[in-house]
Amino acid sequence: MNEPLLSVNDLRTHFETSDGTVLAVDGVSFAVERGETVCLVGESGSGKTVACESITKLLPMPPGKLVGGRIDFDGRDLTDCSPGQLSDVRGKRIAHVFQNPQGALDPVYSVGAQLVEAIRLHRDVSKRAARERGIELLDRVGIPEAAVRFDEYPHEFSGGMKQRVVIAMALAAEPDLLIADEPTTALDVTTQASILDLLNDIKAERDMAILFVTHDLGVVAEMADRVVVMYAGKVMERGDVHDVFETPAHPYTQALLRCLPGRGERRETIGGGFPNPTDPPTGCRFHPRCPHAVEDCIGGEQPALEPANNNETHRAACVFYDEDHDTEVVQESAADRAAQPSEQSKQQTDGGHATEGGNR
Amino acid sequence: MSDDTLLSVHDLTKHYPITEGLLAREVGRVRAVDGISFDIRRGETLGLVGESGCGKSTAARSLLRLEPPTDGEIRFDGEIVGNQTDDERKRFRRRTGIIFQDPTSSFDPRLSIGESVAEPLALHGLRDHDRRRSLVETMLAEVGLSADDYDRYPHELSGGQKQRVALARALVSNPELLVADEPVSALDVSVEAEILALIERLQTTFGLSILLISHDMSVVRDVCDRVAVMYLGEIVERGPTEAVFADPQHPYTRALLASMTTPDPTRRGERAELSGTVPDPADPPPGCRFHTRCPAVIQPPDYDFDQQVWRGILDLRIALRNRTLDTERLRTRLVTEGDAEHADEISGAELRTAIRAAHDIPDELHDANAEQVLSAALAEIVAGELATAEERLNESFATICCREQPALEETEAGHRAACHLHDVGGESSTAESVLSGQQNG
Ligand code: SF4
Ligand code: SF4
Repeated sequence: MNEPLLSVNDLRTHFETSDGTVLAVDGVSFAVERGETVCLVGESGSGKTVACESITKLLPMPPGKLVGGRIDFDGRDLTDCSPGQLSDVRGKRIAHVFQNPQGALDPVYSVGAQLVEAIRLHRDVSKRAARERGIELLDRVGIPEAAVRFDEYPHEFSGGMKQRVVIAMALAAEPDLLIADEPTTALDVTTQASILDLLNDIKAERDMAILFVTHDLGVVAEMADRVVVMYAGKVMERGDVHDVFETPAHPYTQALLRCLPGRGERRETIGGGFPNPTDPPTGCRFHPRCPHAVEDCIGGEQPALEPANNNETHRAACVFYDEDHDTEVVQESAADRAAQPSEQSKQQTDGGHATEGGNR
Repeated sequence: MSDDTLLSVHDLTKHYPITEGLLAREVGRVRAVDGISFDIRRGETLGLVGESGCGKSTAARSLLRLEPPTDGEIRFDGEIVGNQTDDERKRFRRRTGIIFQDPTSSFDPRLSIGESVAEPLALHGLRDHDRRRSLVETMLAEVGLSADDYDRYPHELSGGQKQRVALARALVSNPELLVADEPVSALDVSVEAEILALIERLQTTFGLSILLISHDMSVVRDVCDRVAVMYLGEIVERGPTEAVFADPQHPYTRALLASMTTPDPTRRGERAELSGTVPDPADPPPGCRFHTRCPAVIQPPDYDFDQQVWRGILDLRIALRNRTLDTERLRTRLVTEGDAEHADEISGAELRTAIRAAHDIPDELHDANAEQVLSAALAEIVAGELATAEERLNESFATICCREQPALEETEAGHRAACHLHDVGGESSTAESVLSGQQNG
């Protein structure tokens, strides 16, 4: 098998704060193959954004610090790269799109000028050729009257249109990997739908890989080839999108899916609060909130990612998937979820101090 | 208006003047809310839903008189809100509460949680400190916090906990109406579920009526009894939540529902797109305000188009109206893209083809009469006679959607929608087929 385009191994990114060391990313591993979309999904505090920003060191360091792990991108360990080499990778091979397009655009230059700059950074072409290419890109990302709008300024574009411009700038470098961090979260649903379609189209067109960070499971279902579920700095589950949604293996993934509005059913809640990031629980980080927690979950390290349902590619970090436990206890399928209220619904709670703790 | 109506809003309007020059002469108006009406019954939750910029938050603020409405009548518990005495206004304030999307901004960071929650009590004249404290502590417990949280500060709390504090403060004066403006949009999925559950519990405990404002259809479906869909300052559909979700009668509602993602990868790609953006509320389109984007926009009676092609022709016409069709630019672009050296070398035919392509109109319409009109108009556009072309298209391809504003009327589905597809006698028989066509389109 070919090497994956990106492979993150045992990544650890910590933050020094006045409250202590935040273990934002604490031994995270995942891979992205060429041309596929991997969704990193989790709630705030899961470490998904920090993990992503560690890849090209976009993360402010300090206070952040890469304390361990390897990040192999196309055969090269990025953790070993000099700042100059990294910025080269950022400009040419890996592009970023963020939640807020405002931040990625300079208000004093026309979008055209910014595009031309991005294009010429990547390729040694004349201004005129860069302009042509820029208009083409704007047209490609769905900006109507691209030639006219090329010379306009960021403030003349709506939020959705700005995000399209940012995507065009990202494409200027013809990247192999696009890292998109909640790119549609700030947009209206109708705009979100068209941006997601756009990303899917250009991915297919260019055989570009996407690492998509989101908290929105609806967006994951729409975009992902594979899914990585994070919680409190750890990977809880990973696998093919269909496997994860049809037979979520990890109790956290199961609980998260139950928080979503179903068709006419009541939403459930997880209960309990997000752990203290400077002093996370030992053992499985989800154990204080897990309905299936047993003695073995409490001590030591997070259980290793073991295959679920005899499927090597679908793995969960839960003791019930190791050899000593009966997997059936935690298994459920999408059908079960729809058919009957789970055990958890009995302890449904609207939370509160006792349950939604933490000090963040 | 029935007896159990708590709030009744009639023709609420909020315009913001656009002024110019030293004398601040009014040169225009942003029609943020443009004549909306609805009732909220006791104990009921009404959802106000729509894209950003549709006016839903402005509607909420002006009905609470956080800013004075331009026009309209608001009745609260039967009494007109507006020309009240100071005392009456105070009483109205006490009987209503509001929470916002971002709870952080509504707290003074120097005040403890308890002091923040107690503020409204002091404002309403409760001077006894001990009694205030005990009321606040009870309230904190109601929202799932504890009495010990009284002395903590906002920065020590998570987003979900802050929203709980905001609820405590909104409810401490024991109001009858709670306005919740995007209360969960900034929260995590699991916290969102908790806050929605909490709001529902508080509603029962306190017998609250709730106006819930959200851009998120799934939140509305979850907690609202009835829903009103807003577009560009107006309500375009209104009815019981179940009915509106099961059988939406306005193309905009359909589009909103179709844009929702579902957490089910097997249903990928079932979303439909809605083109264009919300027009400028200072210059809303004539006729039906949704006609610039509506996938189901009604065709002129004497011609036969594919619906998508008709949408494209209308887009062309709207571009002419808005002066956004720039033939010079198009010529320049054709030079950039093609072999021609100079804009003058672009032939009329090339330009016409480019205009068709830009609006997804095929090179030849299958209805010969329609093709005749369109080619004549395109010839005029190429000749620079844009106004004549616009007029030709307007006259030949007249549609009621661009001409008349539809009223919010009862549909066959039993709830109200403002769309000409439901006009009696007229095209109403086609409503079902056109609307259902939209979903596959
Ligand atoms: S390891 Fe234990 S606590 Fe963690 S998810 Fe599995 S059962 Fe729950
Ligand atoms: S009136 Fe016409 S444009 Fe407006 S929603 Fe109905 S069909 Fe669409």
